[in-house]
Amino acid sequence: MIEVHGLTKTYRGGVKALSGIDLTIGTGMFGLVGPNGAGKTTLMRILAGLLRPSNGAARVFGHDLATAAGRHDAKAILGYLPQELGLYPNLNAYEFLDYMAILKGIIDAKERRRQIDDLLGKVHLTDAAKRRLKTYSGGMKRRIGIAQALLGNPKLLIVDEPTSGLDPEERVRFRNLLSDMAIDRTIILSTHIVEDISQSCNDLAVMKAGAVVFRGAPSDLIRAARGHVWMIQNGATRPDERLTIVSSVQLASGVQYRVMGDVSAYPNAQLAEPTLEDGYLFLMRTEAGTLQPV
Amino acid sequence: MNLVLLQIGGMIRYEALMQFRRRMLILIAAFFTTGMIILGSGMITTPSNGDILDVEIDGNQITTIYRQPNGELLYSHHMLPNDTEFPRWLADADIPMIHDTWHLLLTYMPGLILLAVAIPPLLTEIIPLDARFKMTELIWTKPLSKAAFLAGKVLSVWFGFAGVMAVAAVILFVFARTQFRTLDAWLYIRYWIVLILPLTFVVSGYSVLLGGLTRSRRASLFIGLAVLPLALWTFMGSAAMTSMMNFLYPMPGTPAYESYEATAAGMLMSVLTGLMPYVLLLIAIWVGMWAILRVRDA
Ligand SMILES: Nc1ncnc2c1ncn2[C@@H]1O[C@H](COP(=O)(O)OP(=O)(O)OP(=O)(O)O)[C@@H](O)[C@H]1O
Ligand SMILES: [Mg+2]
Repeated sequence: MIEVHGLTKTYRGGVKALSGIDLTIGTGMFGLVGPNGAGKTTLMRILAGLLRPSNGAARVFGHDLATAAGRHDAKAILGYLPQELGLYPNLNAYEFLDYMAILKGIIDAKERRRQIDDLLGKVHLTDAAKRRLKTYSGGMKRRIGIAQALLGNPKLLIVDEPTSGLDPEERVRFRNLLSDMAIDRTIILSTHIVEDISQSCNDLAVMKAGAVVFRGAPSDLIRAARGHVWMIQNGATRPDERLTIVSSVQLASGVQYRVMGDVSAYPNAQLAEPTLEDGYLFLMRTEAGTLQPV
Repeated sequence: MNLVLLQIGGMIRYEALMQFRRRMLILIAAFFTTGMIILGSGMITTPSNGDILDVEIDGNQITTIYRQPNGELLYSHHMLPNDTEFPRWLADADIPMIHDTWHLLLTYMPGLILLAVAIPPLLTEIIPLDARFKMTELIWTKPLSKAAFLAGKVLSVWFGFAGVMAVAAVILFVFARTQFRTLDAWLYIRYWIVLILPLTFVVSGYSVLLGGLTRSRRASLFIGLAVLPLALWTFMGSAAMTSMMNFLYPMPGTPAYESYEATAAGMLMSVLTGLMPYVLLLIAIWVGMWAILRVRDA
């Protein structure tokens, strides 16, 4: 259980990254989405004990992050994958994971070996385990990052854009891996790929400009957009400027657009069933004031 | 406690492995070894009078016997000032061995400057490299205390140095054997353990710790340059090097040692005493860096 109250963070130089966040996060997968600069990474770094908030309180499984002892105890049950991850290029995957496992406090060498073998299998890198990390591709590095976050069976897993740079197959595999693990722990996942969330999270928050603008189940976000998403077929001309184009498909009979907004000028518009992505875009548009919510 | 020791042990193991693969410590030791060999081949020349064979003492008169290059013996006499106590044991001692061993150790004095120059610029980057590899965040999400982190970083360098410097010591000893007649290997080993290794540790300690003031590798190079005078000062000042000869030929008014063994031990003791202020300085820097890391974190 993660509890956050009135959390604000102003960086040196005056950038206000968080402005009063209140969140309670239970067990299971929790998705965090929002545009670039919304404050997702800032929030996650505070929860990981890397960054001190300017104001407000945060507790991780009862450990108060305001105290050094609380941070230490919280880190003992934390797995973290930073958004920007490097690795030690001169170690091989096995050595790197062993090093991280030691720092994490897995005292027994046999237990470390068992976990590392298991995780290397899960991220499909067993065959490359003895290669220096500097020879790894971007996606392989990311998977090593994921494996190191899972070391020690952490009760809280914070992964910041874990799927960026993964091929579709690996992305699906990783999503399933997380879902399997979510049963008795908290996983906080930030992403720009809304699909990742819709497939795996039962709870999500949308952040924007340092504030939480939506909190609930993915279905709630989808529901909010219901009645606002339309399909129009528009010959060769682009639809009205005031409409938000979600996507367009080239058909034999012209271009079919998926749009949000006032479609009264298009008598042939057909109501479409919204997706989570529609819900997200709808929320963003609403917040920006270009579209009135119903 | 168990956890802290495990973490420090793990850091020593893997940090030392990475430093070994990055070749940094090997480079420093190789630089030192090569420099010593070049320096040694220039300095270790037979005295112009020839090889020292023996020393004889009669009252206040000392006679040094040389074998000249043409094979003839040369007797050089000099009188000691009245208040000088001459080490009587020299009369019965193995003069060639003592002469050559002391001469070898003397060549280390200028040679150590090589170490003082090589260590700081190469080792201040050890902590900033974590930032360059984008590993800093990951490390600090582990339940790792600042004290254990610093200890792991410094000790890993020390372990690495202990390894590469042992190799350097052997190579340099083998080289010295080609230059000299007989050497006191035991004194040579103790000299490395008491002086050269600790000096390397102290100066690499300054460098690693002070490098932690920055996260940028470029800035760490400047810190390295700033640490350089400190390193030189430590090397020059610590070893009571200039007075090393005084152990064999005491200054007027100072008591002489009673045996070769006591003389060697006295020399090593003075070296250790000379190191103390710099060890204290290292401890102060260590504690200071720890405090800085804690404050930064708050
Ligand atoms: N170290 C820092 N110093 C100053 N400002 C920062 C720092 N890190 C982030 N910011 C600012 O704080 C705001 C929030 O950044 P943050 O990285 O939390 O966003 P984000 O939601 O993770 O974005 P993205 O989706 O691009 O990763 C941004 O305006 C950013 O410029
Ligand atoms: Mg981010």
